[in-house]
Amino acid sequence: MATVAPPARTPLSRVSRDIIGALWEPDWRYRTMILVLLAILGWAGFAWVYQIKTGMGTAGITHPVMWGVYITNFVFWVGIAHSGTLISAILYLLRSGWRTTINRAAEAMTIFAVMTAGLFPLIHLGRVWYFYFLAPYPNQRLLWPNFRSPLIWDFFAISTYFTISLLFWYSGLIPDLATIRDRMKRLSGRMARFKERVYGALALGWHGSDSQWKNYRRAYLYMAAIATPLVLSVHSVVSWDFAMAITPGWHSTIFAPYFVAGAIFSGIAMVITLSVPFRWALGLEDYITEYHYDNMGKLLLLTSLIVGYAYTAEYFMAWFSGDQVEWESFVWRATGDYAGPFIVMVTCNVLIPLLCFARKIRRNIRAMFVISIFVNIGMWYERFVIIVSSLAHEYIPGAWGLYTPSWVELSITVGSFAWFLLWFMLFAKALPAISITEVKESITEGVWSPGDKKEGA
Amino acid sequence: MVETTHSYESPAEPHEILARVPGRISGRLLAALGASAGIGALGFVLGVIAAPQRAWQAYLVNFLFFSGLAAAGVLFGAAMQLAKGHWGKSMHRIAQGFGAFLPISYVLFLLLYLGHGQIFPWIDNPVNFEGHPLPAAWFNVGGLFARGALFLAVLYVLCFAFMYYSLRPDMPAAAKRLSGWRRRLVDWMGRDYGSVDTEAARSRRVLGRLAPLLALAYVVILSGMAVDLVMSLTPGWLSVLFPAYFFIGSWLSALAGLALMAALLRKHMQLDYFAPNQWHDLGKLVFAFCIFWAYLWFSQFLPIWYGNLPRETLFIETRMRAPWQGLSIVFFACIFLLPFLLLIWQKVKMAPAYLASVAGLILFGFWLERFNTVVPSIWADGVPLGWIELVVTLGFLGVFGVCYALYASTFPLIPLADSIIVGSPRKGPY
Repeated sequence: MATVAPPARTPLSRVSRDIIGALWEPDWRYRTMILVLLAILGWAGFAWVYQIKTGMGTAGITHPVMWGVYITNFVFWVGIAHSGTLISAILYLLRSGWRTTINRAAEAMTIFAVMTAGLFPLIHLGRVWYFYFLAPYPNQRLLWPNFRSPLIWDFFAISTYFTISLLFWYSGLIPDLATIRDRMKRLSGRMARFKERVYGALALGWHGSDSQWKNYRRAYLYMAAIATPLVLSVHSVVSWDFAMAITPGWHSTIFAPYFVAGAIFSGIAMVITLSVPFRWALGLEDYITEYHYDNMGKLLLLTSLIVGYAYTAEYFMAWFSGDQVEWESFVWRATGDYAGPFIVMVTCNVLIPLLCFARKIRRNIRAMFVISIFVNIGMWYERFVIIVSSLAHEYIPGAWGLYTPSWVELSITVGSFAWFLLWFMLFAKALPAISITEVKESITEGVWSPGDKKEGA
Repeated sequence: MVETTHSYESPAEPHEILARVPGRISGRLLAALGASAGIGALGFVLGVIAAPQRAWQAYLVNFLFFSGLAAAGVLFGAAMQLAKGHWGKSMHRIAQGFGAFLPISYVLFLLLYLGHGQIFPWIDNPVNFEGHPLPAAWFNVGGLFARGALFLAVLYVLCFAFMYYSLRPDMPAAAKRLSGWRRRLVDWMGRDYGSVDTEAARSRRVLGRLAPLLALAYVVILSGMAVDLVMSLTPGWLSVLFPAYFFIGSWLSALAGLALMAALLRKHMQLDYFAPNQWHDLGKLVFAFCIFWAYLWFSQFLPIWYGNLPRETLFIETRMRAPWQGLSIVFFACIFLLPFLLLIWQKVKMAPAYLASVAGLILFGFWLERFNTVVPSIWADGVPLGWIELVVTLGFLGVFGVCYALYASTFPLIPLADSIIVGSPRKGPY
């Protein structure tokens, strides 16, 4: 849309042009991709309907492994949701300027990942039409959820997280939405009027006055401060879904911080995985550069080391405490029927990310892309190993058993990726995927300008 | 988003900083520190005769507290280097000074061998509380002290290497003001000196490599310290998180120690070079780690309380019941509850005197916390807080103080050359 993108006369107008110019005009590749994703989603939808109609027996879960791939996916997607708030809130408070161009996309990812994760408890539910039993309200059934159950803590933790993430993302968008509205004013045509009205309504009457900026900044800072503890709390509560049970392999005091680190680890990996094709497809290579991958690589390395520390500490403590059950179940995890997933987990999460110690690799976008895919795989397997291998091998040998996912579960798993990507692709064409405001601020402050591969002096 | 920027830094002229290097310890300070060290040593010997276990467990508590503080103090510079925390560049040497205690700490660890019989309950009968045998490969006194001596040497050497390269670029400038052994030390540290710029560049390069190594060594070796010197006192206790909780605690105590020392030096050595926003940043870091420490404490407590398994509750239960309950509440209040309520206010974070008071409270809390993690495991008869504990602590404080005073009276406490992290403080939310 050439009219939307007038020739840029200054570096600042170039920023608006580049970012707004990436919107709306989908080419054939984009349309094809959307169709493919819809097809996969349709198939997954069919699988779910089949499961609802036929019964939970169509899923592979059975005694003793009653939590299988669905809960794995749930934890995996909640984990993916973590980097968004980390990048947008914590790095904001820490004045890490490099977050500027990736925070918008990471926050969007957070929201879509929570939307994906939220589906899985429902899919896992036997009679999904009774899911509203989860909501605590006075009712004629005289039924209340069990507040002492970590599952109900989780319900609250995740709804809070979703709400705050959405508000935080939206408040960051407001000045940019107003920029788009103003740009539409200069254009003619019914479509431009329509967009002006929609973006104008979403911009909530923003006109960039001093008092608006002042209040906006305050609000953004407070939101960041409020969102920060949530990054820790949400995945801690998810980890307590497991750690509160006395199942060996689940019941561990390190679970909360370890899950949080793992979540940030997988989330950063997903940001890298998505941002590489994304910057290329939208022509935003100047905006997400080696500089950003270098820093994300460091974060990936840090969280990988924490996860590796936790793996090691679990084994060491099981041995050191002289507790037979604990030790046997950890030995079985590494050498028993699920040794394969265990090896994948250790290789992808601990060994491969060690490459990020090398600055050359961190600054090599292709290498980071490949590493991030390994991490995504490894983190999915980590959730699988923790959930399945612990349940399969509890205290009583008579109750041991194995689990293999069924086609229904696998279809829905693949479908969840399609659902997530679909939202992400719609976002990339409907909203400015990089914060126009923050990039301009970064240029004015002399911290970093588009195209720079290093931090400015 | 620019709110208020970090543009304001007090101008620090090299000659002013050098003028603040006293080159000697004032007589009164030396007398006070020396006296407490002497009383401590004497009291410890008397304690060993009167009540050997109490003396040795007080010794262990103080060893853990002060060694953690010293190692984490050096880690501060490494952490700033790794995270590019420009604001902490000019503060890192104040924290780094705690590292001067490390050689003494090493000797003290070796001396602990003499008291091993009073401390480790598994020596005669290495089984856990259920009677299952503990892994003999780990639970033997010789092995414990051998690996301790080895790993502490690694950590302390890394700390000293870090301190050396942080100080080296400033050595010739500092040498002019010193005499005697200080002069010889500083001359040795500045031997084969190129120019300031080449030395600073070299230091930055070396410190850039050392920082991640030091951080990794700190995490691994302090975890080992927590396992061998704290957890093994309750054989069979299972809590995977405890070592991490332990080393984060030491890190927080070093942050508090930095705030306290920075405020004291500002007052007594006119070392007034930190801008209000730097105090604010330090305050925010202390605040953040108070919360994080409490988070770790709670993450450990909740699964244990909920699961109610004997192999886990055996550590927590003693501390939750009388006579230890009161102490547990006090240390939690000193490290988290009160600092949390106080540090919420911007004023408290930004005013050195207020921040230092809160930091003092945190340090006091951590001493109690270390006491509370060690002693209830091996002492069954009430809370042993009496003259022995007081005197031993006084002795450690004296020795630690002498080490710090020697450091602070020899080296410039604000870097003259950019020996770590280049660049300027980042702009951002204030």
